[in-house]
Amino acid sequence: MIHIDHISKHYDHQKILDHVCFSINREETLAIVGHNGSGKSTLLKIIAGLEKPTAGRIVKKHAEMKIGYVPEQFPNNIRFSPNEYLTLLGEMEGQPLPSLKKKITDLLHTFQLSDYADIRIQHFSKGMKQKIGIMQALLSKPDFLILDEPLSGLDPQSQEELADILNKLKYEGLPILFTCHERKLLERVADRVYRINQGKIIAESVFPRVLTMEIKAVLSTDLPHPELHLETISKSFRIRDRELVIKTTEEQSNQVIVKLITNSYKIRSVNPSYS
Amino acid sequence: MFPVLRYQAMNYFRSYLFVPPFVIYTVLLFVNYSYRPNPIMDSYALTSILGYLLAAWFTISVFHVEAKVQETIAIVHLKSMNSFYNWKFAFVSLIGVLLSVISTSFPIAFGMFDERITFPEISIGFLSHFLLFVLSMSFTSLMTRRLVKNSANTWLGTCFMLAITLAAPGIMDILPKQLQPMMNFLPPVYPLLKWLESAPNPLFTLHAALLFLWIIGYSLVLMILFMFWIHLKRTS
Repeated sequence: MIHIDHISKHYDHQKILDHVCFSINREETLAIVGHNGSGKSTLLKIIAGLEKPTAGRIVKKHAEMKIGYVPEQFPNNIRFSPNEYLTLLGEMEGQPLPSLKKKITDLLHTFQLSDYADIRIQHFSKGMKQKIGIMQALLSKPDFLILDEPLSGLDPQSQEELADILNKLKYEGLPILFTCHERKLLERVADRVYRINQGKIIAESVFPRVLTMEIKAVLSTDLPHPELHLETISKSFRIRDRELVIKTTEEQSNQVIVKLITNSYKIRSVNPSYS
Repeated sequence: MFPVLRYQAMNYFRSYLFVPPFVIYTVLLFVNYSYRPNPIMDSYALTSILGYLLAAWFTISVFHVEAKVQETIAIVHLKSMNSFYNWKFAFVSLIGVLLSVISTSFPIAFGMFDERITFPEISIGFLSHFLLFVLSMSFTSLMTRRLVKNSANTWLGTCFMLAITLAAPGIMDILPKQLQPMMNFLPPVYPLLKWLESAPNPLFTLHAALLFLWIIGYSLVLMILFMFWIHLKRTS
């Protein structure tokens, strides 16, 4: 989908990137790890088209491929509300206003920020600002998403929330490239990890992924939980009060959902996760 | 309204960074017209200098109003760095139009002049204010953070340029004869002020047209230099 072809970058005779070469495939999530100053952010900026390489080239599948870019540390003092900010950015791209408004409403809903749509972003927490950062990148329905240290400086709960969002985007088939220091995010989201040191790729790890669907359902009657014989279709399930949480494979998830509905359960949520 | 211009305007006005230069401008305008009657073109020359000095302040505050990351996000959505900065120039120029209108119309509205003002005088008054504002904006842009790393150097460089351009005739006198032609490369502030103070009759002459064209051309060259330089920085 995107081929990074021997990219090098020098600043004032200092080598930042040295013949970096790899490819990003469709529906793949790729992470770049490395110490501060190893050249990760510069590489992302070059792929996003914000900086030009000293040597090498970026080969994209389509010339007009849309890339969403989430910078490290979303700015603190944005004097717009999410509604205003996203509308202005969308209009700058030339998106028609009616469809843009709908897209913004959907994004605010997905990121659980609908109640904050008209409050200025400068008053938001770091985690909420980071969500706005991702929302602006998704505004143009990108073919490819780049995130520079998306979890940096966030509390564990916000990290968890953002990892869930990235997992969801990954499940929807959006190719993602990100840099990070958090092992948790690598383990949960990345298919492939490149380690970069002094501008050179020094190691590659591949994580074979198993997609698991977590289904939450609530029993809609006052009767006790019916005998479902879930052992045959799920390795992991738990029952708490009226709620039932089942983890199953993607292939068997439909079968589980049908079974639950026919046994008077209401489906609360179906979330993909990778292990 | 154009989204980038709306973005710039909302962002800038909500920052309140316009308040200090605007208040200083208004106070000095009142001080300048604290007695009457006043000579028309001399008064316009003086308030043009005032606009010229404060244009630098407005320019720096507009160019530095958002964090670099916020600027990057806007450029990504606009898909053009040139376009983003062109709109910044357009926005500062609009502030220049507003201040030029105030400076030109204030003394007329309050009857501050010693004689009845004519249409050519109003036009030249407006143009001199606006063109000096644009000239100041264009060279100040070269000192902004896109091109100058240290913000202290932004202010020092700008103040130095403002002082040099206004004190050009004094500097010319103390410079050795061989170095004097160098002063012709400075932003053409003094020639305009000298021409305004001489208040020629008629006002619209070939000399006036060439003077205005010189300022417009000089400003355009500086703005092109700014664009060229930021692209050079991006690729270097």
